[in-house]
Amino acid sequence: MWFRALHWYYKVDSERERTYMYSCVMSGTIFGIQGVLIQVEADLSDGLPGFHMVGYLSGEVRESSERIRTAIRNSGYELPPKRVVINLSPADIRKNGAGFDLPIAVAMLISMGYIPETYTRDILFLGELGLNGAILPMNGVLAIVDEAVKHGCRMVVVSRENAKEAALIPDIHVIGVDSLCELVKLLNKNIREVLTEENVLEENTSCLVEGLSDYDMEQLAESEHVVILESDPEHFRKTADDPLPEVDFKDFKGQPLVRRAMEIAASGMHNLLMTGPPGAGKTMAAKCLTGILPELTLEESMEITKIYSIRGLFDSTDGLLKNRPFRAPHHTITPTSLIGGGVFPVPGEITLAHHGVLFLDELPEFNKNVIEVLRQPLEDGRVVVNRLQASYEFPADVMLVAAMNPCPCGCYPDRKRCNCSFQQIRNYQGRISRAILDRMDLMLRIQPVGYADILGEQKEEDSLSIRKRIVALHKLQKQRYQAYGYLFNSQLDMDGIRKYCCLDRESKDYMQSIFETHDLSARGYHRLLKLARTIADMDHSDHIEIRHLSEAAAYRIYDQHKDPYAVPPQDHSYGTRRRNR
Amino acid sequence: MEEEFYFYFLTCLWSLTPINLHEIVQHYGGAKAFYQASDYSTLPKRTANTIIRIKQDPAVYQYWENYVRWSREDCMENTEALQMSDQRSVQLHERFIPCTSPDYPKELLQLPDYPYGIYIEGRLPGEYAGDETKASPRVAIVGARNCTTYGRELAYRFAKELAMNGCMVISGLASGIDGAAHQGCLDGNGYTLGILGSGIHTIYPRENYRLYRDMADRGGILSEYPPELKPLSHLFPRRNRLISMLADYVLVVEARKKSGSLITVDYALEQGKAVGAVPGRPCDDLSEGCNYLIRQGAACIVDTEDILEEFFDSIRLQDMKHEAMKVNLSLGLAPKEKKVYSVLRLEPQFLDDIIAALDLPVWETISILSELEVKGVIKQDPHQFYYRLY
Repeated sequence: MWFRALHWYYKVDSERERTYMYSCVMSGTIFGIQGVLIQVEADLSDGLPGFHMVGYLSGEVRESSERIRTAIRNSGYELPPKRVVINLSPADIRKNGAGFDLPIAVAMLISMGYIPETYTRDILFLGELGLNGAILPMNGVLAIVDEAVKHGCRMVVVSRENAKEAALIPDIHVIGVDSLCELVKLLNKNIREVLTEENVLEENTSCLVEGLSDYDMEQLAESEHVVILESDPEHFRKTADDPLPEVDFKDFKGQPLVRRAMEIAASGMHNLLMTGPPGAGKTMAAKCLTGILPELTLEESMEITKIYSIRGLFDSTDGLLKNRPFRAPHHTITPTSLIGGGVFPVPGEITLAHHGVLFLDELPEFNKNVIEVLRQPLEDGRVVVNRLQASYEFPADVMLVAAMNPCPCGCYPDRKRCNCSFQQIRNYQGRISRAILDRMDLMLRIQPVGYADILGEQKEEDSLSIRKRIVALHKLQKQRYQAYGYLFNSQLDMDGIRKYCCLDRESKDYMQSIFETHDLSARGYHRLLKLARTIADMDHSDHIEIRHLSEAAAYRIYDQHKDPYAVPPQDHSYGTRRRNR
Repeated sequence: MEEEFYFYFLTCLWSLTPINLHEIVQHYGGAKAFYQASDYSTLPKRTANTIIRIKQDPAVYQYWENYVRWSREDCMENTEALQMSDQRSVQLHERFIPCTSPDYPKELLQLPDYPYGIYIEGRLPGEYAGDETKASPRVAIVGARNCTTYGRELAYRFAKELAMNGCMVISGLASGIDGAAHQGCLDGNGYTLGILGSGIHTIYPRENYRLYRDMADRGGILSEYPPELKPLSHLFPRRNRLISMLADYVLVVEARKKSGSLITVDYALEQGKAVGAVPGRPCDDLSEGCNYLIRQGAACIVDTEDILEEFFDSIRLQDMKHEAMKVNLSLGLAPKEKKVYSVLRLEPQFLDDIIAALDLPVWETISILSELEVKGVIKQDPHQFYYRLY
């Protein structure tokens, strides 16, 4: 009120001139996958007319000066010939994204006296501007709003398209506005007072109109330019019926091994590698997998939705994401786009597949170093991208599903069709390093089905009933590992293995014989135990028994690079002299 | 030494066919005369040009120099050992043996185009473990490189059983059947000789690297080409005449109708050796050659005894199969394991098909298969294709 009085005082005093002053509004940007609040300050002062922006800005933010000035003029406000200084603070965070247009414009309008300063306090502004003054949607609203709520902000102004997305965060009022002049009209009423009177809202503008006594009622009643939403924690659950899977397992006929292995993989979130000729059903099997995985929990969903929002992949019409993500990047992908990175690091495909499935079809066709960068994320469940100013951590807790042909032509071991030499086959399979193979818990071969199976009168179990079993198993694991901070058997650490994967004397002996016949590595041994734990869970058995171990061994052990193929020492290569006895 | 050099020189002329070389050498009246001849004009022009080119190649001298140096080193290394033990038991690693040497295998001299010298790493069949086995029968096992798992297992088993019954196994150290035969013989503690189509310093194919090392230690590797010669496809059929000549019996395991194995058989028939073939299913590409041979009158070999009968009056079989059966019984497979085992075949079968053939739950079939594998009665190749061994 004090400012308002001052403002009127000056206005009365100098008739034609408005007062110009300092103003400040709240906005935010994305840092990695985190929202960060940014203070936008504007100052209009006497001096040579000009427009200056400071505060460690990236190119797109710097460009916004032209957009903002044009938008303000086109919205019908007069730009005074003054020296304008805009500062975005804190100054040590790089500001990127187009979301600063709106807050800067609002700050300027406050300074110019078109909006009372008190009314905009503690409101978060996010949005891009068009030259005609339209407020456009932007990426990453969800993460920024979430951060703002944590800092006590209770109201946010975004573009109408972003309103629903922002309203997914609990405890916040969201105002979605179409254009700058609408916003100015709205902000000239004290919305906050109106909203706290609890006579609002839910997409119903008439309620708002009643609260705003001195607003042009008729205009707003017909206006479709403003949406005011109250955030709705139930939003997530409202549309959460069981969605039907895209590809159902009941259509997957005559391949019992695949069905079994898929169920094991989904139950413990184990990595999976499928090998088989083209057309055998590898890709279809992978698609079926999404249908049998349990839905995301609210926390998981919030985490993933934020990431999708940042990458601009989130469609807010259906609320938060419910299905586990399934990402299938093409094999021409670069290492950076797979694990994330860039000058200002953004999350990659593996982070987009967080809590879900990362499917790499035709694995040997991927660039060698693309596959190799997966090593560390697959072990740690996160990606760390280091830059000079900061290191960014992206979650990457994925279930890796990969598919490959056994040889260049794809038909091996069917020697009637495959004419590849052993050298070719070995080279092809050798493109996947031992280190990556070691991280695959289930390795399974898929062979094409016969005609009888395709016709298939035989009824197979459908995805929904498989999913029911898996949901129960996920619950069981969650309960068991409550104190440990992980969810699934595949994530067990050493302590967990010691505690939950203990073997009795008999199975220890058996394990020893497996270890010796197959020449296991330490990691291979532990992965085998974790897999056996999942199989035991599926069998409702508290202890891992021989039958579980042996089944796990059938999937886990893959003697692809056995001894004769080991690379000989260098002095024994072709054509060079071999003589050192 | 002098004389050796001329023969060494002749082996460097590998680009000439052996029969051509023999003609030329005879034309000039011996190796020495040929080397020292100044005028090659009395030969057909094309051949003469080749010879002149090769003789002027400095590599010829380089080979020779190296070879002399290495031999000298070897001799020095071996002097002490020579003093300490019998000459035979000393492992002579690499040698060049000219055709005039008493060590040169006598059988080869019967060939019209015998090699003028051979390079040998390890031991020759005649030098193997003293007098007793000197007369031990030699069986050549040949077959396709691109063979089936079944064929490989079969070659391995034949070789192992032959070795256990005192036979030597000769083959071409190629991938597939050849490699399996050598490996089987080594595992049966027998002597095996590999005859290469490249120089003995060239390990080809690379997958046989370990086998190659073992054979150099416990068997022998022989070649008629200079040590550093790279594998050249047109040189491979030529060495087949040595395989069949050094063997008493040629066994073909898996062969296509047009293949190197049948070339070996042709040589064997020319040289008057006995030939046997393992029958295969008709219509199978890889058994076509074998079945053809049997139709032409080759012995039909289904068991190691069939070959041993040729050499021994009373067969004292130390058969792996019988042993295996015993092991099998003593292991005492559980009823369910027997059930799964009975479904398996000798050729690899995909896991889905095995599951389909049984009415056990999926998980049970898989875990039983895995247990059987640990027990060593079945194997998988490639991954999740199972076959039984006995």
